[in-house]
Order: sequence, then structure tokens, then C-alpha cells
Amino acid sequence: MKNQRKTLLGLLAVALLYVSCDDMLRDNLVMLDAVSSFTYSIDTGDNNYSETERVNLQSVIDDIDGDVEDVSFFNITMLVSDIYDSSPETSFSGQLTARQSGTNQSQAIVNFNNIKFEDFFTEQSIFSDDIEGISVVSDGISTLVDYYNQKPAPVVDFTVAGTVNRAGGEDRVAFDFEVRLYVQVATDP
Amino acid sequence: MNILTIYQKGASLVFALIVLFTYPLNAQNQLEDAIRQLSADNVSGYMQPFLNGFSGNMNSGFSGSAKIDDKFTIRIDAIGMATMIGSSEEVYNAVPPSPFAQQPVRTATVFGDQGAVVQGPEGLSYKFQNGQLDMDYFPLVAPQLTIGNFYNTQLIFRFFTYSGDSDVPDIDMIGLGLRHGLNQYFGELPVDIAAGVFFQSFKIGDIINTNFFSVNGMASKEFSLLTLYGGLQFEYSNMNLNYTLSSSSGDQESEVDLSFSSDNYIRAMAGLNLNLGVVHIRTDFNLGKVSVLSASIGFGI
Repeated sequence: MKNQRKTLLGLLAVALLYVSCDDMLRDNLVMLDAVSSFTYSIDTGDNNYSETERVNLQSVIDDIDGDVEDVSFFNITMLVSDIYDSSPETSFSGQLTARQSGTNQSQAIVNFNNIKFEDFFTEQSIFSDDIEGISVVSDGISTLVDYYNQKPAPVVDFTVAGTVNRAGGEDRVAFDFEVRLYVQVATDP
Repeated sequence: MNILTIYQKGASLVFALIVLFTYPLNAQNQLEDAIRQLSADNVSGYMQPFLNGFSGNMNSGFSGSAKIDDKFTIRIDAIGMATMIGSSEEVYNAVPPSPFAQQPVRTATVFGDQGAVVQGPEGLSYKFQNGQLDMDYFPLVAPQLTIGNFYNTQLIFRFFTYSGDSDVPDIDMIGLGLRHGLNQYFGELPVDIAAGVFFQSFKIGDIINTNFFSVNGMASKEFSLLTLYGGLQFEYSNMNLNYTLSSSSGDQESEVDLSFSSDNYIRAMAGLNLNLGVVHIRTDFNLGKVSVLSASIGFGI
């Protein structure tokens, strides 16, 4: 009987502490940034290139612990992560497009014209004014926003295609081109 | 706010910290996740009020008397402290990530409510981190052991540890202090005087490590069971945050290893101490950059 009373008092104390503790926590969502990245390994002997990467946009959301209340896309960046033996002065032009898997309609996201590899050795937002030759396609951004508003977010084929302009006179041009999609995830912990 | 409330809320905060950092097991923990989303430029502003309140509390309640003679003393105290949280502690200026305009925006600290929303190119928007703690005052409870007096000197220990399984971040608090009675150097004085130095360390999980250092001078006067006391204190508190950003773009460092200090450096204190044989009840008010109310109940001789 004495032990039961002690247990009951203990449970009561924990319950009181939990109620007090609960008062101290705001009922606010925790905002988490998350990123989906995919890399194109381009190796071409002529002036043209075209590569496609299939990305499940939902997977980065599924990796979040807690209940996901909202997802919003806020940035897309590009990076040349490796140029192998190619000249850093080599430039490339082209377009990044997105097409929801299972559909035929592609949507351009960004066009880039005569961008030197060396200008993309650090990650650059496509919205940045620092680099000339990048033009964002408004409808493409709206499409990305819509993708992330879908529940679940779809699988999307991202294609980068265009031309290279050799600066070093090499036979082949090889480079790794990485694209990163940034989202904010509001979670209920 | 009465002493019981401080104790209840202080004990609750320890529980809250455990909940914040561990609940649910294997899942996200609220405050650490909130911090991990913040860049090095923004995290100190988000956490500064937390450090101010935390250090205001931790540097309080060491003693209620400056009388330190050569009599044997051993005492265990439970100390409750509470720092007032004003509305100014609920907002700070933060800079959003690229590609949003790199202009300071007024948004919520850890004690604030909703994070601000900024608009960017192509209709995109970004929401700053929401506040996670809802407090009018920041309470804390610490156990303290006092042993002495040898050569008019006493030692003070504070210790608390929580060590769960591998999924639960550890909480470790340790404090060490030294107080010395000074009357022996001045002959007859109308009051007792003492000086003290204290160092404390509080580590929570993997990302928050806080150190507290203080030096104080104190005077007290006994009136039968009652002692009036007051003093001045210099203090320095430092928080280190070490984590990997949950995501980072090219303009942000992915590894954050940042230290910043509390805004509290000087405080004045005044209080009352009631000695009832082996029971000692004490309360004091501390005035500095932040205001702290401290109270304790102790048992010993």
C-alpha cells in the first residue's frame, strides 16, 4: 500500500511537471531546410550534350522526422563540381527542363548562355545577379512550386541539354554539373 | 511569483529540456532541429536571450551570508532561479539566405512566436525559424553542496547529470566555487564581508556547451535569525554551438562552430536569509542587464 502511494505520488509529480513543461513549449512548427541534389556527369566529344536525371522529390520530405505540415520551394542552385582535364575557361550554354514522370510535357526552368566553368566552381543561385547569361523562366519556377505542393511530390525527370564552347582545344570535354533544389519543410515535432 | 512556483517551473524546465532534446526517441528533437536550420550569422541572435536568461540564473544563488568563520559547515541547498523575459527578448534581426535580399529582418528568437516571412524573386518566400519556448520568465533549479570552513574558506559544488541510452543526448552540469571570509584581515567591522569565485559548465546534447564564470564581493549583517546581505558580481558566460546546417547553399558554411557571450557582466544583489537551525531559507533579487529572482531552501549546519 505504501509503495502504491509512492508510485501514485510519483506519477502525479511527473504529470504536473509535464503539464508545466507543456506550458513552456510553443505550439509552433519547426522550419527545416532540406535539399535535393542531382549531378550530371557530362562527357562529350562534340559540341552537344544532353543528360537526364530522375529525381523523386518526395524522398527528401520522407527523410524528415516529425509530421510534415507544409513544403515550399525557395531556391535552385547550380554548381560545376569537377571539370577533370577540361579547361576552366571552357563555357557552356543550354537549358534545364523538368518533366513530371509519366507525362510528355517538359517545362524549361532556366536558360544559361556562355557560362564559364570557373564561374560555377562555387554554388550559384539561378536568381543571383552575380553572373550574366542566366535567365530564369517564370513558368518553370511556378511548375517547381506546384510539384512541391502535390502530396506526395512527384518523380521528375530533369534534363540539361545544350552546347559547349571549348577554350583549351581538348578533344573531349568532361564535367560534373550539380543542381540543388532547396525547400522549407514546416514540421510538427 | 512565489518560491514554490519557481521550484515547480525550474524543475519543469529541466524536464522540458529533456523533452525538447529527446522526445520522441529516434525522432527529431525540437530545439536542436530549430537551431540546426540557422546559419552562423543568425543563430547567436536567435539564442542570445536564452543565454542571457540561462547565465542570469546560473550565476545566482551561491550564498546568503558573508559570515565565513572557521566552524565546520556542510549544507545541501536546492536553488530556484528565475529571469524575467521581456518582449525585447522575443525578436532579433536576421538575414535570410540567398536568393532573398540580404537585408536584416525582424523575426522571432527562441522565446518569440512566429518567424517572419520574406518575399523573394518569382514569388518565392522564406519563413524564418519560429520561436519554440513560451515563457514570461526563465526558471531553473540547481542542487548545491557547501562544505567548509577551512581557513575561513568554503567550497561550493553544483552537479547535475542525465545520461540516457544512445538515442538520448546527455545533460551534464558541474559547478565549483570558492568563498573566503575577509573579516580576519580588517579587525572589527560592522558587517561580515566575503569574496567568491565560481566556475560552472552546462552541456546539453551534442551542440550546446555553456560555461559560466563569476567573481563577487558580498557583505551581510545578522539580526538574530535573519541575515540581510548584498553584493556586487562580475560575470562572464559563453555559449558554444557546434552543428551541421540542415542544408546549406554556397553562401553559407555548412559546419557551424560559433561561440558568443552573454550580455550580463555586472550585477548587484540584495537579499534575506532566514536561519532556522538546520533549515536555511534565502531569497535575493539581482539587478543587471537581466533581472533575476533567486530563492533556496537548504539543510545543514
